[in-house]
Formats: sequence, structure tokens, C-alpha cells
Amino acid sequence: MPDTPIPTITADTIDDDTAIPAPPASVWRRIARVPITLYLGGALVSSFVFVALLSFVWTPYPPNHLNMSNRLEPPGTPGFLLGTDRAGRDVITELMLGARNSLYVSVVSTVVAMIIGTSIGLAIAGSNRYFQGPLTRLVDTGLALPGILTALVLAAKLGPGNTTATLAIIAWQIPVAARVTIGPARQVLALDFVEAAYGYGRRRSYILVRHVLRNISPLLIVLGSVMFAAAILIEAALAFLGVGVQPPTSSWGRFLSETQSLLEAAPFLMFFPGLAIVFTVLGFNLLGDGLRTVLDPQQARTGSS
Amino acid sequence: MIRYTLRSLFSLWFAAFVGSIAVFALVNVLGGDIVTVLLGREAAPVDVEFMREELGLDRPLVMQYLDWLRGALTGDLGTSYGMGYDIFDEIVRRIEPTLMITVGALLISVPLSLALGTYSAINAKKVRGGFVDVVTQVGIAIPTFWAGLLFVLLFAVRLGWLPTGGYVPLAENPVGSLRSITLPVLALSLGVTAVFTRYVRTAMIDVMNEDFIRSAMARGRSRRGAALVHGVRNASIPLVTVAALQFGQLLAGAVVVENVFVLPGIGRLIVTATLGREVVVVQSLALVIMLFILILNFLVDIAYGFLDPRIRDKADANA
Amino acid sequence: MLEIRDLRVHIDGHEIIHIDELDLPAGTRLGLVGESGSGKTMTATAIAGLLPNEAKASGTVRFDGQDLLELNDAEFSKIRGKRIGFVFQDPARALNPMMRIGRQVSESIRLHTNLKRRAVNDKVLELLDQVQLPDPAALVRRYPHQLSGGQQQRVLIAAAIATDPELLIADEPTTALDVTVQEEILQLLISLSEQRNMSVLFVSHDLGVIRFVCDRVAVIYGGHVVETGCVEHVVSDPRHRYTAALLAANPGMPKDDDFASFMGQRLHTIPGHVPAVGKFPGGCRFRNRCEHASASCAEAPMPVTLGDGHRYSCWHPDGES
Repeated sequence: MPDTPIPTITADTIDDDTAIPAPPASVWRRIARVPITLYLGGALVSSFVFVALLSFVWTPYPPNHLNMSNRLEPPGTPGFLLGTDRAGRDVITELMLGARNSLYVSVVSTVVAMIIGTSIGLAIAGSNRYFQGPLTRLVDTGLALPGILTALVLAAKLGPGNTTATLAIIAWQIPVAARVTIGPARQVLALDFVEAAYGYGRRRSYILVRHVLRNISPLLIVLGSVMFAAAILIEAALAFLGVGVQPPTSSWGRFLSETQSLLEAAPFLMFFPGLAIVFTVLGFNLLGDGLRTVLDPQQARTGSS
Repeated sequence: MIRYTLRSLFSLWFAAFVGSIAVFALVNVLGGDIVTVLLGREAAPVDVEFMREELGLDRPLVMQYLDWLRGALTGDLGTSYGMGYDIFDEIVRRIEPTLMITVGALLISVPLSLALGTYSAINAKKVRGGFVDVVTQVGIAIPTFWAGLLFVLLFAVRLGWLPTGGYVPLAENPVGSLRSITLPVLALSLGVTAVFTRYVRTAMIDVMNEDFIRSAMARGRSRRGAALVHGVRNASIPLVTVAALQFGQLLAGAVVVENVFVLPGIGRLIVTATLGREVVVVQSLALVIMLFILILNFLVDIAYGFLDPRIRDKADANA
Repeated sequence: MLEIRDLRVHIDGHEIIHIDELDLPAGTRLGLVGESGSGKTMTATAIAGLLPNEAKASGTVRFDGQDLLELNDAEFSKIRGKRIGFVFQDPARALNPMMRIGRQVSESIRLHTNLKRRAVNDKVLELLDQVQLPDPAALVRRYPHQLSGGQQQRVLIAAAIATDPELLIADEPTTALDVTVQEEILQLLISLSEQRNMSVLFVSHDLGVIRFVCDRVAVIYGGHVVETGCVEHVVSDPRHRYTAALLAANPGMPKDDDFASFMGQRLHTIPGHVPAVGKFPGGCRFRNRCEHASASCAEAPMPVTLGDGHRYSCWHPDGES
């Protein structure tokens, strides 16, 4: 073979048109292409949080301000923008207080459940291969049982109340968080750089926390948003059944249960707490969707929106 | 296939076993004494002692657990303290409404979800596909009990077409029975359909990207033809997995719906028992509901085996 | 039989394929060769009308006198599968894992003809036999995962030729297979093509394979045909620098087992890498990787035709010029 000079790539041979491997798409550029779901969801969620927090400082009327002379006023009555319930309580006030309760329960339960659930998931993903199968199956079993069941069992034993509801939601969400963590955690653990880390002498717990957790954190953020939504729904359902938060604490679910007997007398009442729930839950779901698109575009391409 | 079925069966019993332990632990280990709950705080010590003996609470936990299980299998679950009914009998009596609305909801939501989801996937890039996406997104945010109330308001109170509640047994009056469960089934189906449609959509979109879809199109199928003939069958695999997870939600919805529409089913029983602090009843009811969910999952597993030839071959090979 | 003129494919506003002129006479086998990202697969997909929705094609693709690009989806469906067959790269993924082999092979027959079930079944058995698969009767009831890679690819080929198409487009049909199996499949394609007088458009990155199977070759870079001609001519007398570089990059085997002279030589590589979509330089697309590029390469080279259909577009070709 004739001796052909081997070309080398130097600064000269690379002109403007040569493609250089693009730097990882910066987070900023991705944020600029934010999908509408993120805006919408963000707006709804912030409204919810704002209203809930505002209730600590101000509500149109004092909490539980009974006003029997103004019972069941329709919306638009001066002084009561959205009307009053059967004890004369202002609807807006009740909604704000209900928001506060929903926020409390969902924050506490989601945070606790995520911490515990994610730890369990990481532990399972990093455990001995023999154990992983049965352990995952165990988690799956927990997953199949609805939260309401746990809540009812707990409520029967411990008595209804906010604490019981919160505990029940936590108990139900833990398998969810664990299950969602196991898959991706295992995937990350199978990556080469993890093996390299082992080679350096890093201990497994270190790897799990530092590398795996970091890598799956976008997923966890999305999960958190969705779990919030679920927690709000369950809390409302429990309150509706009378198993959750008890009077005099306000809750959207309990508000709704009261409207059931008033369907003929005051049909307008049942719309407001219901819509409140729908918008809040919708907000969290949209937020989760939007976050997923921003943080993990690959998955989002095949998903929704 | 047989081996696969056996394996699923084993999973079923394993899960039931674990679940029963969990329920039992929740009731007996957490919180205070059952007796205190049942009798109340101010009960006289004599009564407390008597009840403890009667319920066998002085025996070791493991014995109590086994006795409970044995009771469940033989039909002796004890009696309600507050109301005096035999638990097992009551459960049997109340299964029908729960079954009716659960099965009814499944019959409606599964085909509907498949159709909507597939439609949405085929038209994913067009407005009509996106429309379905938006609608289902709202649908999953609607609490089942609120949907129930809305339906009652509209169809029962305003229009008077259907009853506001109550249940008519099938044997007594088929038409009346169906009428009494129409609104509950609709309310229940709403949530399930919304969730499931979204999963169908995602699964179908994933499938449409597969190579064999392109192969089918290369042979002359249209996009829609390829989706229907090849896509749906393959998408059903991940769907079936997801469907299993929905049964829990379905039962939870049933519990709520039965309370909104005052249907004398298991759901209403467990809530009443909970509010009455009847821990013994609740314990057994939880087990029953759990079993129901697990059996549904088992059936779905079997269907999975029928659908995907790779699964049963693998199971048979590994067994 | 297949005449392509001024075929352009746009995605997202970028022109990713521009083929001035490409011909495939009936009964011949044409290879489309290029690296990953050269646009060869996209070209084949465009001809078959299987482009994704975001891609827009313009120009003329005349198949037996009829311009395929003018057809709408429904009309194209009638031709696709019936007169144009397509074999995909990864047989494991190109077959529906949940459908029996028989049904997949017979799919185009059932779509395009009115044959009764008995006739269809017979045809399927005959096809499986023609692709040299053993025991066709048992095979029709099997599922893809029960077959080996080579068998799966034969099944795909059987499905593609089921309706006796005039053109078979094969997109890297052997890339996913074992080397030992590759040659068998390639031989099969050659014999099928000769028996049925079926034209083959063979897409591959492997010049050796193309040399084995095809009569003519078109070298594609950056969505453009840079050189085309008889395989032997192009391989022995490459003109375009890219073609020459491709050939040089393949060391082949030493002559007369003279390993000694072989060892120690550095492998030729083409500097840089294939640019991403839209990042190709203007004019000659290869100029930023070509050692012989000059200022004049900023202008698109005019095609030069040598004898026997050997054509290339390069300002500084290799060989005598």
C-alpha cells in the first residue's frame, strides 16, 4: 500500500462547519421550551398553596363563624360571594380552610412516604440478586391494596381523624414510591460508571446515595407531584366518608358530604368544593407532566402532551 | 401454560398470606387493645376481662392469627359486637351489589378505554388526539364521589330518570336492579376509564414506534390498519400489567360509591363498621376485599399468559 | 424501472436528502452505501413511502412510469407490499412477536389478492420453501421468538416477496446477524433476484457486502449521491474522495498471507465524523473532512460521467482526472 500521510485533526482542519459534539443541552435552553402543562400546572399549584397559606393569616370570615340567619345563601349574595352552607358558614372561608387541611395532609404524607419509600426502593435495588425478586414482589403486593382499605382499618382501630388519615396515606404511598424507585435505580446501578466506582472502593451505600439518587432525582420530583395529587384525592375521600378529618376542622371532602343531603335545597353548594379538588389535583398532575417533559425529554416523547 | 398458571396461583396465595399478616398486624399490634376500642374507655375491668377471654386475646398473637385464618376458610369470622350479626353471613349477603357495580364498571370502562386510547394514539399528532388527552387529564382529577353526586343531581334530582340510591337485587327485579346500579356504575367507570385510557394511549404510541408496525405498513397496511391488527395486541401486554394495579382503585371507588348511593354492599359495610369502631368486622372485611383484588389480579395474570406467547414459553422453560 | 430525479427530503426545514439522479434498471441490484447518518436508510424509506409524518419529500420517484410521490397514502398502500417489498434491518424486531409466522408471511397476499385460504396457505408453504427454511408446515404455526436470527430474516424475506414484487428494498438485512449466517442470506437474496428478475435496492454500510451482492453501487454521503457506477469499476477505480477513503479504511486481507508487511501499518480513518443534520458544509458536503479539499469545493461539484454509467461529483477526484 502506498504511504499515504495520515491526516490529523488540528485546529486548522476544523472550520465552522465541522460539527463538534454539542455540549449537553443546557437546562436553560430546555426551560425556554417549557410546555404549557408546566405553566398551567404551576399556576394551579401555586394558587392552591397560596390560598392555603393565606388562610392562616386571613379569611373573609373567622373559621367556624356560624351564622344561622344566613343559611344556604346562594352565590352572589352580598357579603357571601359563593354562598353559605347549612350552618351559615361562608363558602369561601370553608374552601380556604379546606385547602389548608389538604395541604397539610398531602405535604406530610408525601414527604414521609417518599423518604421511606425511596430508601426502601434503593435498598432493594442494591440488594443481593436473590432477594430482589421476592422483595419486589412484596412491594407489588403492597401496591395492589388501595389506600382506603388501610385507612379504614387504621381508623377502626385508632379512631378517625387527620392523623389516622395521614398515617394511612403514608402507608399506602410507601410501596408506590418504592416500586417506582426500584426499576430506574437498578438501571443506574447497571451502568458502567457504577462498576468503576465499586472498583475505586466506594461502598454500596455511598454509591446508592450519591450516584443513583442523583440520577433518578428528576423521576422522583415527578413522582412527588403525582403523589401529592393522589394524597389530596384520598384525603378528600376519607373525609367524605367521615373517616378522615373530624369537625370542627374543615375539609373539602367533608364539605362535600354535607352537600349530599342538600342536593334539592341548595344544589349549588356541591360544585365549589368539588371544583376545588379537581383544579388542585389537576394542577399537580399537569405540573408532574410538565416536569417530566422538561427533566426527561426522552420519556416525554412517548408519553402524553 | 399450566406451569405459568400454577406460578400465578402461588403468587396469589403468597400475596394473600402477606396481606393477611399485614392486616392482622395493623389491627392487633398497632394502637391499644381491641377490647378497649370495642367497649370504650370507661368499661369496667370485669367486662374487659370477660371480653378478652371470649375473643381469645390472652393467647399468643400467632395463635390468634391462625385461628382467624382458619375461621376465614371455614366461614366463622365471629359476630359483630355492636350489631350482633354474624360477620361471614353478612359478607355473603352483601357481595352482590359490590360485584354488580364492580363488574359493571369493568365491562364499560375496559372497552371504552381501549377504543378511546387507540383513537387518541393513532391521531396523536392531531387536535382530536390531543383533545382526548386533555379530557382524560381532567377526568383523573375528578373524585369519584363528586362524580357520583353530580350524576345524582342531574339524573335523579333534576331529571328524575334514575333513583338517587338504594339497591334492587337482581333476582327480585332485573330492570329495576339495573336502574339502581346505573348511576353508581357510571360514576365508578369515569375514574377508571380516564386512568386507563391514558395508559392505553401511551402503550399504543409506544407500540406504533415499533419496527413490526413499519413492516406491516411496508406490506401495504395503512397506519390505522397496522395499529388495529398488530398494535393493539402488542400494546395489551403493558396494559394488562397496569390494569392489575387499577383493581385496587376500582375497589376503593366501589367503597365510596356504595356510600354515596347507599348500596348495601361490602363497601358500605366496611365504612359503617369503621365508624362504629368494629375492629373485628373491619379486619375480616379488609381481608375479603383484599382477596377480591388479588383474585382479579390472578385472572389478569392468566389473561396475560394467553396473550403473550413469550411469557408462557419462558415460564415453562424455567419451571 | 426505478428512476429517481431530484428527490429531496426535508425535516424541520433542513434538507437532509437531495438525490439528483439515480436509476435502477429492472432485474439489477443496486447498492446504497454510506456510513451511519449518510441518509441511505432515509432514501430507501422515502422510496417506499414510509417516511415519518414530519418528513416531506419532493421530486420524482418514477416506478415503472408512475411517480410514487404523487400518490396519496391509500394509493401507495396498494403498491407497497404488492409491487415493492421491504426487508428491515433487525428481524427480531421487524416481526410481530405475538403473531404466528404464517400469518405474517401471508399478510401481503391477503391484503392484495383475493386468494382463498387454501391457496394462501399453499403459497406460504411454497415461499418458506423458497427461502430455504426447513419444515415449513411446522414453521407456520410458530412464533418469531422460537426462531433463530437467520431463520427470522428468511421469514421476513419470504413475507416481502410474497406477492412477487418487482422491486425489493433491503435495509441492512444482514447487519444484525451472525457473520456465518450473513453469507447464506446474501446468497439467498441474489438467487431470488435472479430467479424472479426482481430488482433489489440494497442498503448497507459494508462495501464488502455490497460488492458481493450488487451489480451497481451508489455511494451516499450527507444525503447526496457522490459517486455511482458498476461495483467493480467504482471499487477498482474510485473517483470521489469519500469513496476512496471508504475503500482505504477497509484493510481487507493481506495478499498471499503476507502478514508481516501488513502489520504495523496504521489503519486509515476518515478524520472527523459525520455531521449532525443541518450541520453539513455548503457546496461539497464532504469538504470539511477531505484532505484534498480546496476553496473551490465551496461550490457544489458538477457531476462527471465516465464510461459505463460511472458518475461522480468531485472537484479533486482520485485517479486520473
